[in-house]
Amino acid sequence: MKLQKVILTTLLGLVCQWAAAQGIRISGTLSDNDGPIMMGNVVEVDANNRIVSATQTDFNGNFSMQVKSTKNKLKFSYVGDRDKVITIGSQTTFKVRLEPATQLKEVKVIGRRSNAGGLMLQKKEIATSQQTMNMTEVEGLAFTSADEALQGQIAGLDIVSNSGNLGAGSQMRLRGVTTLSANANPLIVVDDKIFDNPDEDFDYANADEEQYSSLLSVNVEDIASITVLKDAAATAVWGSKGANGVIQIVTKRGSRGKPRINFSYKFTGTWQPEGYKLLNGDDYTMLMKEEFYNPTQQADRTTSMAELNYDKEGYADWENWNNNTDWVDAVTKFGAMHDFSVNLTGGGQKATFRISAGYKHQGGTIIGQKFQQFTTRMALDYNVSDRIRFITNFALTYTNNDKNYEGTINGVSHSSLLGIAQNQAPNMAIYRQDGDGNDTDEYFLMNPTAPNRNTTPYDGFYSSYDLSGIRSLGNPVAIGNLAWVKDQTYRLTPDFTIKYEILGTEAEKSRLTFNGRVDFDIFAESKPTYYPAALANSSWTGSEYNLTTNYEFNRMKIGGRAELVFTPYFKNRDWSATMLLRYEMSTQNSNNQTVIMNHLPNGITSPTVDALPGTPSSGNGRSNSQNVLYNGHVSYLDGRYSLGFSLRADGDSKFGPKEKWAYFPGLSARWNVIDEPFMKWSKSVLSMFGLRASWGIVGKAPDKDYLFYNTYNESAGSYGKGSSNLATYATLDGLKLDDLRWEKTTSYNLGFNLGFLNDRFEIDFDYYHKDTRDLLMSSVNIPSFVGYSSVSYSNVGRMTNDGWELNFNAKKFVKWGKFSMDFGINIAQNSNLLKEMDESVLQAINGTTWDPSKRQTYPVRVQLNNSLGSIYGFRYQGVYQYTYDYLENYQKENNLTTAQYEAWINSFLASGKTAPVAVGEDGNVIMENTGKPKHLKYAYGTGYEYDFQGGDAMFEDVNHDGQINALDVVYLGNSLPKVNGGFNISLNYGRWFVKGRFNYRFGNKVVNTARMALENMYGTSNQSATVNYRWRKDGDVTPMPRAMYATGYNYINSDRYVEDGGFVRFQNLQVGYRFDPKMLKKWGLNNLQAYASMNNLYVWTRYSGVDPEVSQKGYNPAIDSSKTPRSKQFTFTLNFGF
Amino acid sequence: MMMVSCLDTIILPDDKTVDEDFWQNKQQVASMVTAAYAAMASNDVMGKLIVWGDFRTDELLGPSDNVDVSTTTQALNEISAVNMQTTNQYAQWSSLYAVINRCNIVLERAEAVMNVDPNYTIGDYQVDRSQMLALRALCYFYLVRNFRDVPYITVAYMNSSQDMQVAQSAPAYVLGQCIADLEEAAQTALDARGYSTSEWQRVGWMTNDAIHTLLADIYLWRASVTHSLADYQQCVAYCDKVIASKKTQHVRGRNEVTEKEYPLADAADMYEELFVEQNAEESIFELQSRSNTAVVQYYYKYKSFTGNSGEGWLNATPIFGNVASVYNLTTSMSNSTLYAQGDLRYYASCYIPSTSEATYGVRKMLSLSPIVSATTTKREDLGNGGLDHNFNIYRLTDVMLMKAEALVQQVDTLSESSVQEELLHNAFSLIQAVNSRALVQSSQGDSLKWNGSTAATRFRTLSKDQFEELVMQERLREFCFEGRRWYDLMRYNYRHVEGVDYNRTLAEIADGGTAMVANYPNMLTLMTRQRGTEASGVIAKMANEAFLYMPIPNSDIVVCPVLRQNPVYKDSKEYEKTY
Repeated sequence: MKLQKVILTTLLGLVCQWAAAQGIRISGTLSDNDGPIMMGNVVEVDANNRIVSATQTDFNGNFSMQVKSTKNKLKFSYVGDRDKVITIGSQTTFKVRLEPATQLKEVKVIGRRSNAGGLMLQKKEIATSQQTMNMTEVEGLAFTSADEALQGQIAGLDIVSNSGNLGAGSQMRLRGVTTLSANANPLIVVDDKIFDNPDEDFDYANADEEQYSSLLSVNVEDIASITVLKDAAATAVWGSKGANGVIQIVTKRGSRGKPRINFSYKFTGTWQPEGYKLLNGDDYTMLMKEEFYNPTQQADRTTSMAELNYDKEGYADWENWNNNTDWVDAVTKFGAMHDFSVNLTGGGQKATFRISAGYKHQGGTIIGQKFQQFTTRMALDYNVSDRIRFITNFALTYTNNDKNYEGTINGVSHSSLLGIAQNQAPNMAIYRQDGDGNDTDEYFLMNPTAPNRNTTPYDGFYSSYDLSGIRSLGNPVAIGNLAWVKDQTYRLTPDFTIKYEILGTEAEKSRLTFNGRVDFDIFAESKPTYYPAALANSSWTGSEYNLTTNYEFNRMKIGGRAELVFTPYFKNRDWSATMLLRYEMSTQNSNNQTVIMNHLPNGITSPTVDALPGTPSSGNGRSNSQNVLYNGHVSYLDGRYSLGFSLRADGDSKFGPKEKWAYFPGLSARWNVIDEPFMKWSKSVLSMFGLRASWGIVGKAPDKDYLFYNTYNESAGSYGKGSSNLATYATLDGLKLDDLRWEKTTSYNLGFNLGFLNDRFEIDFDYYHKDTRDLLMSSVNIPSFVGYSSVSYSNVGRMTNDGWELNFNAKKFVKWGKFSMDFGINIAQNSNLLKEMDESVLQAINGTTWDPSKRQTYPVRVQLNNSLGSIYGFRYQGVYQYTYDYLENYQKENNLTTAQYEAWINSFLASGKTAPVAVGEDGNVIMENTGKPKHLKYAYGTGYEYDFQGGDAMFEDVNHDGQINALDVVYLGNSLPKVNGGFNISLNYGRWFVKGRFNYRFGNKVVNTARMALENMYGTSNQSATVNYRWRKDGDVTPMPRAMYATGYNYINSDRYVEDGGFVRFQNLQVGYRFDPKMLKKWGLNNLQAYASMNNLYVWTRYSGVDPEVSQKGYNPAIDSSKTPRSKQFTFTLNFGF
Repeated sequence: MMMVSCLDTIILPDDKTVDEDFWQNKQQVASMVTAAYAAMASNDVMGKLIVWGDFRTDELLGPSDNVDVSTTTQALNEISAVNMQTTNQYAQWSSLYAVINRCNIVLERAEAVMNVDPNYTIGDYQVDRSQMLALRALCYFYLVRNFRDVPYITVAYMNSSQDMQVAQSAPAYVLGQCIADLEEAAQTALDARGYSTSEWQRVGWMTNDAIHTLLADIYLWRASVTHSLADYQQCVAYCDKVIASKKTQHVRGRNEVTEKEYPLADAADMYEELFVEQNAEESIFELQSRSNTAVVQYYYKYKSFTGNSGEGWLNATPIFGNVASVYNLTTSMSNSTLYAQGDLRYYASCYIPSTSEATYGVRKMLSLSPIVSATTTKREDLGNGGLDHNFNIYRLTDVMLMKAEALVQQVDTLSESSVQEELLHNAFSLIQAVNSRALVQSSQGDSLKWNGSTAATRFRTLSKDQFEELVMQERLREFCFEGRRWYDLMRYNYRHVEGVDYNRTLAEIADGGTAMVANYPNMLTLMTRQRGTEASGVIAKMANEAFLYMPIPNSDIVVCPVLRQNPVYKDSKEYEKTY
């Protein structure tokens, strides 16, 4: 039914025209300067240039044909001659002579019109804030998806890659974040068609897994240009979907001319940047012995931990525990990528086409990772007549991404291979070693953990009880090679458009164009996983014994559009106007299911085998939406004054009756001051001076369906005893959100465009203010006595974003003989402020601010008039050099009185030495009435009370109350960058060129929990080599605390791990050569280019981690938890065409 | 365009039913009634009933060293150290309020179904209403006993725009409402006799017996707090109703060799009926379970069946470690010897290791086969099969011992000694009935004796206070690990202190400047008797009435500022600062 409606809508405007058949026969001859023409074309066309009938001349140049109507025209044509058109009238014989076509020089067309919300406008009339990147600028660079190409190119678009895993995608933020929990990535539009993430239920704020990156579905080779719409007036035409900005991608299309084939091949080599230097096996066992000894002071604490003892005589597995394994090296590798693409373009007067295909094969920098992509795209334009035109696109993308077994699978969470490799004990062997220490071909896996401390590896096939932590990590090489996730996706996106000119087709008439379009978006994902018994951590009855899961997801989306574009013709040529009215609807449905099977027979990996099934899950989603858009533009005096206005009405099935329809207005104006008569004087220098202003409202809907209903799950389960006679029950899913409103962002934008010396230098500047009200937040807590502890969405507050962007481009600003130089830079600054928030929501987020038991977690705090992503914690001041007892013993040895003792301590402290005593505001020690200095405590009065000792981390006691607790937590910085952007330089010399692209972020802080985990000396994981400088005895001066197994508070949330995340990245360096066309002609080619480039060449940063590029989610701080860093790459590219 | 502007932008889920299509027939009401029971039988609720009812007493010890550190073990350690944070996971009432809301939804919406579905009769409706009122009262009774001051919610929450700022009510008010609701529910209650003994529904639903038992329990509780003779009499009256009803339901000879006065199974069948087959004839109300991970995790393996943890989070204390030769008067409360030799409950309640250890495993509710002889054996390995054990809320012996407790408390030391003796004798015969049927050979005569042959066994010489202890002790023997002991101790405490203001909330009492009522030292000694050196510290910390209760969940206070924290717990606000 739905489909029929769509098709009806689209074709409704099509009025078929019937020509009355009054057949008469005509004949004649055709010739030119060279004599009679053989195979010349004779075509009968009607008033709209539609072909009615056609024939060809014979070898004497004669022709005859039946024509339909004498009112029609005959069109004569032959290659190399000019066309001739003659009205038939009463004539029945024709003697026609064609004139040779004059050779024209190559013509460059400058009149640039671009698409602005469906209207074609001159660049100088565009009043909204938008920026376009032409993909020729990055030709020859290797990108997996378009976001990598955009990074650092667009002012105000902050792109941070999610991880270095293949196909991981990136987080994009345009002009800050305006939402707390919903998807904050900009909308992707490909050829005017929304290209959203197929999986709508993806939890953006909390997901630890990487989502499917929608941009993977578009081959970078097929992209002609990318336009980023920034302000609300520009995005308002996309209504509720455009709230985060819009990235419009235009793909390449065919052009008239003889068919051309282009090939391109890229080879890319990738490798991991160097990470932390870790302890080797010997340093590790030394650390462990110290770490276990320190808290207990028992000399025999580690004697039974055979794994640490290098016990050749007593321990059978000795050879497997006496190594210096570099686990990180073992899981990383050199990755090679081959990228082939081919395209065929061409066309004639009636039709143009472009067909392309691409294949990419990418090996990861981590073992077990592999990415393959196959894309094909076909674009066909067919002109039936001057009035009717068909446009069609057909694109298919297949990706096959072999991932590591990580993330949460079947309820069990798995770390990344690199994370495991960093933590795994370096004295352990990768492969089981025989008695002589030679590797066998079996992976070494630890024995089961002993049930308690009294049972030891010497008692049987156990691992030490205290080493259960490293046992549960597993052998990363084994996991990488034996366990897998194979993520496959198919995406098919065909569309069909018909354009019909209802009124005039000439320039001097008002034009009214009808556009009808039907589009489809079909997406399928299949994600099987396998975890073999060989890796299973628990017994054979455990749930991970030969476990396989399979996730299947399908989505079908159909859209239809009917559009009328009206461009009136004004007698007064000073005025111009264009406007459109568009109705659009779409319907989509999706479903998914997961199948889980355990205890498969060895060697079988298919979940279809009948084994022990896990709990399967499934889901489905459906939604319909429709919208009406009016968009208009008026300009006066050839764009000296321009005014744009739009109104969009959105109706969405996600909303209940009260909020079903929402209206999004946009208004923009531009004044090109340069065109004013009084600016004439400046023409020699200034080529553009325009002022812009815009205003608009965009909205955002929650991601989930059916929130406006009370829904009952009628098959929630059954209750009772036994297997029969059970009572089934139904449950109410949750509260009906009857007071939920749209999140609305009102914003204005002020900007100017400057161009100097015929636009050789261009400057765009924009200032904006965005005010988001009724901020949507997911999972908002409510009092649990109402029967539910949270509602899935609520409108909770108001947030503003203020900022400015500057974009500067200089083309060939240095020219010196054959040498020329281009330069471009963009800078953006955004400040985000939370203006209002429900008190109870603030309380719920901040209420459990600080938990003394949680060492490694930073409290999440949201505070009014602060920006999101703030970091709070203690101030780290180093390590206590001396123990408390050292002071006490000194008093005893020297028989000091209390007064002398106090004076001595003060001088001791004044000399820069430190001990865990409470210090008052005056910097002097606080003495207790027992005559002892007050011992500094951690979390006094809670269950986690602890007396600080020498070698412990020293935190600032901000309020001087003699204890470290929540009252000493201070603001440590913010995760959002103050400034971000990029710049590029290109140098040209004759046919050679060198291009460099850079991007940068400054003023943001990153919590380096990766380093925290590598320096905590709290568990049994391997540590960074820096811990060799740890505190060991009284008097040691070091920033590295002592090792304490499962005790102490040395690595709690402090600024020790909060680092400056600012960086400048040398993203690409490219060297290319354009071959001489004359030479190419000789070779039969029309295009040949060769490039060499380096990606991620160097990062200038003070950040101590591997990669300072860390994204921040929701209101959480940016946390670097050792995700796979972005790899370094080099690429060779060869393009040729004929 | 006109054709499609009426495009359907209302989509209803196809795997769910929306409210507009629900509440249309009898089956839907029944499924919502069942949902309330299902919520009550959730593992979350059962876990809390274990921790609230048993873990805080002398029955259980917290996680041992070998249990790895998790939020659960930390929360349990906080409780045993009387150092509870307001964020403790056991200071959460959401799972019980989830039951209450389900009851409220049925109470609000079921009536209208009678207009839509003629099959749904007034009788059906009244029975549903009765069950929901009773289940709701049961939840509130648990809440009052564990939090004291709780918001009393009787409206169904279905929309996000409803008022969610509800203050707490004083316990006297909440219990008064519960009694009123239960008395109404008793009028139209489901009759247990409508089901045969083989049907789980007989003890799965809140029947008239369950409602009467709950009433007796609430009256007994309120009597203990307010020292009200009338409430004790009410308790006895309701107990008598249940006992009479159970007697009429009894199938003679089914589970007894010798006929007894009360319809209780013989010792040989007792454990099997109650904890292996379950839904025993003598049972009154049980939370039905087909996969009881709560019991497994707390008593058997905290990592459930998939993990390899050696034991549960909780273990039995050494009071279950010894056995006396016979029951006699010297078996006083401070003595750690709880059971006598012939008492089958000793062998059925805990796992006795051959070597002497400080802790013992729980066996009750974990056995798949009957325990019929007085021999100590190792706890069987439950394998990988999961456990389907019900959680027992009420059974006949509970009613008998409640009655005994109420009878003892009716003894007025100023009245005639014959009146006193009759009350005590009546109470004694109930205790004896419970005790003797659990003996492997009841005829052997090692049960409790009214007129024993020696002074040590002559129970008629016991004082009222000693009788009070005897009831508690018998209840401990009978109901250990079943989530009851803490309330026994609280009643004991309340009976021996004066000045409890049950008409005001703790926060109001603190505002008024009145000191909290100090706890009864004997109760504290009893409660901590197996804590060794820690005991004095715990006793010192449990200074007053407010410490008997859990903190009000902090997560709710932050979103509902009208809630008041129990004044003895530090509000997290005290740590808060403006940064």
